[in-house]
Amino acid sequence: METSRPVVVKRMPEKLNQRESRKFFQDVQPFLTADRPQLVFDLAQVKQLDAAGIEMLLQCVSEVMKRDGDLKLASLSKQAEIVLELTRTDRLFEIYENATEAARSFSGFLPNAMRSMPSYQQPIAA
Amino acid sequence: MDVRAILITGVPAELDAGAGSESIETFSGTPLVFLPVLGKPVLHRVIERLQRNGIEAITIINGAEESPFLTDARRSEVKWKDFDASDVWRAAQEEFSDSAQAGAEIVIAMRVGAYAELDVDALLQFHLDQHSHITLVEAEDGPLDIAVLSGSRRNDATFLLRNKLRKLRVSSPAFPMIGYCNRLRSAADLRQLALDSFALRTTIQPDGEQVRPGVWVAPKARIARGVRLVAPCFVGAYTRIRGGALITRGSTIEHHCVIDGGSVVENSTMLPLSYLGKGLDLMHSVVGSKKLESLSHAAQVEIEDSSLISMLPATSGLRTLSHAASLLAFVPRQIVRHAASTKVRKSRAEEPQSAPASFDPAVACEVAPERPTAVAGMRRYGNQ
Repeated sequence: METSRPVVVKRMPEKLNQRESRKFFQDVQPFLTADRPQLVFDLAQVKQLDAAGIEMLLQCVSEVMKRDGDLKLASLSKQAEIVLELTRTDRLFEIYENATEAARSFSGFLPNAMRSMPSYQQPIAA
Repeated sequence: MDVRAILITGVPAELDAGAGSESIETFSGTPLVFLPVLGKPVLHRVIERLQRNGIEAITIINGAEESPFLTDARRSEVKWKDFDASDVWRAAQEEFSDSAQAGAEIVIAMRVGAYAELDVDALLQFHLDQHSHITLVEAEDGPLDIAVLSGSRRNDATFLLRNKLRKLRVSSPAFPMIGYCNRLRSAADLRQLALDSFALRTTIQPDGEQVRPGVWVAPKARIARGVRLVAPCFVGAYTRIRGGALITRGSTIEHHCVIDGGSVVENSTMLPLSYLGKGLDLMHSVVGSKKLESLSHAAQVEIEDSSLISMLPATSGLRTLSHAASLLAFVPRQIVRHAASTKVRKSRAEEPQSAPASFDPAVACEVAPERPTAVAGMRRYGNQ
């Protein structure tokens, strides 16, 4: 049965161009390569997202999926939302209003009794 | 009767207190009247409407800054005068005086913000019947910044123009606007104008040949085999649409655009010289000058990545040069890509492929199994 594996919430930078994307990917790599990682990317601050940023997001989700984990997006800024829609990548991610909701969604498959436990799966801000 | 027209462009509407927005009536800094709808700038359509009603002497007093869209909108048969935005109304007063001195009996002054299908004959008749010095045109939702001025009433005209076509010295009955009117306050209104034209709510005709019912294609447009054009839609002159693209739901692609392979344009407007990259989904948006305004999200984004959206050079020489440069860059890029993929294939082939002799649950739990990329998109827990 699932136990309290941590949910990592990572805030994305304002610009996600090639350089920043590479830097961000290096930052999150330890979390991606963990066993069954549970990640949430908070895109509230993202003002500029280009093809390199999208590619990095796809690379992250691919890495996470390989390890049987999941990556969810939260608090999308208008800019990020528009670019994700333009590049048809919005349908590849689960998108939530805010990081708390996204983190809570990882416990979605558990029985109702476990979901109501207050100590269960507190998100860790990275 | 000597009737002349003064069209004032590039100055925003006078807003009611508290209703302000800096970007009103513009898209990326260009007034919406200079932008094309179904192949022609809105300003041209206003001028043509006046010309059809026998008004030949038309002067444009422009306060907008130079841009490729403005160059498109200039016409040789009308007098065009550029001014600083702050001097536009003073220039309009001078132009009225010059026209009156040259013998104009009636001058129609309009700030071209809204697109209004005005019955000019009825307006002039109303003005003459009322014996007014000035007649303003009013729509249901407020004044339209259109006035008919008697040439002999310079003081009244000066007062009105000084007050930006909003205040009269002596009150007079207003002419009620009947017919199609679009305020053109935002990109959404520009999009609505295109949709209304497709739905025959306006008299605007697409500037191209109707190749199929509801599909208009302007001359010199190059549409690759495999492109789907779903009515109603419009493809402008010199536009290139590459294979696998889909243009649908009242989309208008203006002149000199490029839509790369596999992209979908749905209920959107692509302004002239726009490039849309490969495999993209453009929905409910207006694109131009490297900017994308999403009407569903009510937000404008500047796209820095030229592989997604960019603006093509305005002159044909520069466009040819950029095509040549991209062709030159294509060949070495393909060689490098081919070399890299061969190397990867070889290294994969050299990897030993040994199957485990027996299944060990402990090892299976420790090492997460590698899945092929095609399977990586599947969710373990369904659509959570």
